[in-house]
Amino acid sequence: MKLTVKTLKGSHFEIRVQPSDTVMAVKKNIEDVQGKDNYPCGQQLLIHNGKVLKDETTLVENKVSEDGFLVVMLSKSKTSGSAAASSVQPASNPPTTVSTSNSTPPSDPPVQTQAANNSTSSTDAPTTNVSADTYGLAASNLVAGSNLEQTIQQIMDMGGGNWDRDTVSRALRAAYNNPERAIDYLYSGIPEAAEVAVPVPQTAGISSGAVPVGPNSSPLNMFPQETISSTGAGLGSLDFLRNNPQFQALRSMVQSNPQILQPVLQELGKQNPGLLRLIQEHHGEFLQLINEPVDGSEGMKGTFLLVSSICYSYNIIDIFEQPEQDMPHAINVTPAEQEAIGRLEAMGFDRASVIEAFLACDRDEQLAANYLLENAGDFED
Amino acid sequence: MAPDPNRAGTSASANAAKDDAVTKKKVENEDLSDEDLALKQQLELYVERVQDPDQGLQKVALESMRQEIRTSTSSMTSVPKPLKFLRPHYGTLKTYYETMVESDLKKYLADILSVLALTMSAEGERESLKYRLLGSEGDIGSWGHEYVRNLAGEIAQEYTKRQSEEAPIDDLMELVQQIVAFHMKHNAEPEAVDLLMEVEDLDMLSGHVDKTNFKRTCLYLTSSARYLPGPDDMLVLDIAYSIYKQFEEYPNALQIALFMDNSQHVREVFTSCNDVLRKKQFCYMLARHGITFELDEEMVPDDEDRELLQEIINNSKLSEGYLTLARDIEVMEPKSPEDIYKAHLLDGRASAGASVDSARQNLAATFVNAFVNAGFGQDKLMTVPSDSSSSASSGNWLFKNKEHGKTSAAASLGMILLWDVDSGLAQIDKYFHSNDNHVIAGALLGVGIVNCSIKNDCDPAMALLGDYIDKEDTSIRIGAIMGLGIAYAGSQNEQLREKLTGVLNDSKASLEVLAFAAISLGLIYVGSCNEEIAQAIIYTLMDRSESELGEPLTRLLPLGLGLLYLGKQDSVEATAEVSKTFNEKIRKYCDMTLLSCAYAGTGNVLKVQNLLGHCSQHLDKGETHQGPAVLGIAMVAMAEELGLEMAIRSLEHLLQYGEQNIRRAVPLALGLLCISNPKVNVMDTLSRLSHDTDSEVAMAAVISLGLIGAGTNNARIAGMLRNLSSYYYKDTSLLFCVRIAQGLVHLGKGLLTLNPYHSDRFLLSPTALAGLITMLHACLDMKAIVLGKYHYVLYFLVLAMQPRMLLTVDENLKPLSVPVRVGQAVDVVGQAGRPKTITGFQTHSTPVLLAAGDRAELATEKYIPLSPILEGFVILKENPDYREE
Repeated sequence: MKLTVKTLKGSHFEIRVQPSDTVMAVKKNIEDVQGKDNYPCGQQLLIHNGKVLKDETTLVENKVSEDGFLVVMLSKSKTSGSAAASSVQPASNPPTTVSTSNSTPPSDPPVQTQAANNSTSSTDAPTTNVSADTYGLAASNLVAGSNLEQTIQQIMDMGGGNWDRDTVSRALRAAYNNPERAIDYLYSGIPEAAEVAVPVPQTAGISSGAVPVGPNSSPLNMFPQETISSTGAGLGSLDFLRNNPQFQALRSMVQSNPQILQPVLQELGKQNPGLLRLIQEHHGEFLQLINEPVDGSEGMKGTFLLVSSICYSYNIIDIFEQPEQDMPHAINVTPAEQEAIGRLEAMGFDRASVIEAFLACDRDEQLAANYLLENAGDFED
Repeated sequence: MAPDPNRAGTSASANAAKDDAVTKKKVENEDLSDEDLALKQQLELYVERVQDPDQGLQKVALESMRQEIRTSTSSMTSVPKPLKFLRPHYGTLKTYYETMVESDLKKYLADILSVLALTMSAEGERESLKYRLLGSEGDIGSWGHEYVRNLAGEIAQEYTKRQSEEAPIDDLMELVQQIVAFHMKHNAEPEAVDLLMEVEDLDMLSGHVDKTNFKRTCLYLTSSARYLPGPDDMLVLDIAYSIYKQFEEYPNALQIALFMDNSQHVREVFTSCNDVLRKKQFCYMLARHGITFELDEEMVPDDEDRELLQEIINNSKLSEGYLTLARDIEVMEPKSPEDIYKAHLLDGRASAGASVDSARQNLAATFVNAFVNAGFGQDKLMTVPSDSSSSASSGNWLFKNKEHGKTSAAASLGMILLWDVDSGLAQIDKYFHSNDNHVIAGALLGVGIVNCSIKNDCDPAMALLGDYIDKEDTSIRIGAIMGLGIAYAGSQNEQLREKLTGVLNDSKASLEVLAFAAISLGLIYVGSCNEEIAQAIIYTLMDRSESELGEPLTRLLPLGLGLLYLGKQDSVEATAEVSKTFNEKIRKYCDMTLLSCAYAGTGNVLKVQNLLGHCSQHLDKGETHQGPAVLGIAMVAMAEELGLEMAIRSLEHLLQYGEQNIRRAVPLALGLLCISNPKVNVMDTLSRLSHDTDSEVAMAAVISLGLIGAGTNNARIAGMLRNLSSYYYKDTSLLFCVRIAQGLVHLGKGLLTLNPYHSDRFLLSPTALAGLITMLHACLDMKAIVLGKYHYVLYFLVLAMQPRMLLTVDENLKPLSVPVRVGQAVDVVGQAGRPKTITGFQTHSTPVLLAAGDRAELATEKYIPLSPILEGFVILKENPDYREE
């Protein structure tokens, strides 16, 4: 029958064989067809259906048929040695089956390789451990989530009762959850800079949810914590703001740039509606706090006016009483203007209304008269 | 008196028939106009006369009938009226045809019956063809285009039937000849090609193409080849190649020769063309493809010219061109990893943790720095100029890495000086003298990276790295072997085969050295089917013990074997048969790897189904072969757009119903399918997977986000990765992956691509695909390889890195700036006329960047490009017909 033989190059050729031929005969056939240089029969390895064929077996025994194909490749000297070893064993053990002898060749190389593998493994293991330790040492030993509670417990045990849970938690926060650094803080005291950083995680959480409004967001975010701690102490009073460093910074900012108060109050309304309500209930006191001089600043009157107008927009009532009391203002008028005011008075209007209208209309007598007549009904109230 | 009674009887019956006819006509007359009625009556008269005993009358009637039919069918109006009116008489005429004696008149009637059978014959009877063969063999086109198309369809069916019966086909082929001539003359090239394919005689095409229609014909042939099974596809491409050569369209012929991977055809292109300038363009195309090609006296007679052309093939000027593009776009300024991370855009959480130094993060920064500044020659970490002490300042960053991290840090210098061999070797040289073996290993690898895609007569990589292959230290051996694999990929270098197979046969070599040696041999001899190397790798696999086969790096041995058969389809059968003799642990993995490599880039849907079948099996013994099967689906399907879309949907299903080891491979397969080509739906899928509860799936998805956005500077992917870096700031492994992905997105500051396809997505560079596949196979075991000691496998990506540019040069090969239109490519295969090939274009001046799916065409007639596809380096010639306006 015709048999197709394929090579690892991807090419194939046909040989004519008989089903009763032995594998060795087939190898000789291939050598004849392809030449001794390419495939010497002593080094050939024939493979069919996932099995390496033995020289002494026949094609029928290996179930080789015309529609299948053989693969031919060359063997190495080691494999030749294995083949020799395998040929010896069947001679000494006649009852050995084909499958048993088939498993014999792989047993030799693994034994040799096993030794090399063992040494390789033993060499690799320490290297891996070293590298793992190195990475562990290099990286921050940060604690998070479920490990945090366990770490706190361990540190408390380490202290033997000297440190309470709150102290340990505060130290961990100051050390950004690094337990080694936290223990160092517990022994030597928490540094001032680290102490200030304690609110940072909470602040970060808040800011991630809100839209920052430039420099205003920082002082505002300080209010919640202070408010919580102060509300219990002094109910209904704004005195706690007086000593608040953030409020002092806010005050100096507002006095130097009054326009900033409005967005500050808007932001405050978002962050802490309770505090804003408190300010509205005690608007007078709030204004007084805002206007207290930090270093004897000038322009306080201008600031007061702007602050008043801004507070008014938040329905802080009774605002108009303040400017009259705090800002007496003399108005100079010329004799001609004096006569004009007199004539408007003669028309039957109140002097105060006349003066107000006269000044509002830019000291124009006709416009003032027109204004007074049009709005005569308003002044009766 | 005997005849008298007969005549009287006939007259009586005729009178009765006439009375009935008159009655019918009165009824029908109400629906027809006068003209139609007259035509109908005329045709009925013709039918009667055809049956008249007088041959003279028959002839006149047939001629008139033919004239009427031809006049109507040759126009483009609605249903031809003569055919409509003759439909009731088809049976009558057929019956009469059987009674006629053999004569010319009988043939004329057969012609008419053939046309009538266009609509009247029963399904599958092929009566139109039957009567055509019995007819007068006149001009076939005069009956109209529709008739010709119908005949072609019937011929195909008849051909199949006759082939099964082994009947003669001479008369069919004669008719085919006429039909093809008609089609080719009337701009119906696709129909002609289809018919010839059906009758398996495409050779006939050569005699019918001319200057006006060969372009469309070849375009159709080339596109059809993608959907044909082998070896038919090679036959079709061969014919397209012959036609292009016949009309001296050598660049197109060269592209087909490269597609067929036929070096003999490449030689013929050179020997057929006499123009040295065009040969220069050929050399640029060969250089872009990445194959090794040696010019000889026969191809280029002049010695000086040959030297110049060989230099182009060797890619010596690639760095120069790349930097020209960079200067033109003004991105020469070095970027630091912080410029890529953009940590200042993040909210507070991640910023707090960023202050802590970390070897893992420094390693990631090393890779990001290498990827972003690839090929620019300068950066802010590795190449800072020395101010106080040379070694102290320049080595500052190197020693912020630890142990094997230094290997990647030293090798990153090779990436930064990519393609610039002279400067690269000078700067890497100082690390050869280090006391640290990891630094030396990195320097060796860096030398290989610098020489990637560049060939040099002095062979510096071999000279420098050759001696280190046999050193005792494992790190140094791996660095040298991997460097040689990258430097000589695709070269089929004989010396290296001897050296590296010696390593494979060395029983004392450790597994990792063997693995990298196999990969390097696979890269150097990619797609060569080299028998000796295959045998060496096979015996190495056979000699491994069961425990060794469980090591992570063992997977590279079957991959090295598979790369030898990349794209070679059936040639892998013998090797696949041998793999069945392997240990059970590695057998299936090797089989899947061989299958996917052999059919990579073929679009073979049968193999995709085969691989999907393996993915649907349930595993119970911790087998690992389904990973390469999933990657194999992507490797096979990436060949063309339709298969790519279908594969994306198949992978979505695997994602929903697949087991965990399949889900880990799916993101990598998606990354390969859309490499450097971010698609919105794939982006969304990978973004979803990057938050998967399984960290291995998440890591694979993150790396794949980097791959699909590689070199695109895609703002959306960059934003996703920034969010991921904030999300994973506590997980060092995932943060490492995010950093790598960020580096890939800004690869070469957006000037490079990792897409192995080029030349309008027609040609597949085997070395580029081999580099991608190697890196992806390493990612199948992310924790042990990429996140373990062997992170430098990421440098295999350098094989796929190419500038995504169009740089036009003049006849002296100097850069020349011309206006070009760059727009979205439009598929014009099989369309009539000269349709636009791009849409939504903008006008730029060269050098210009080309995104995925973009196509460029000249916006001026002042120059003539020597290449039909404007990509990479294109030589422009002055147009002699041009007049200044």
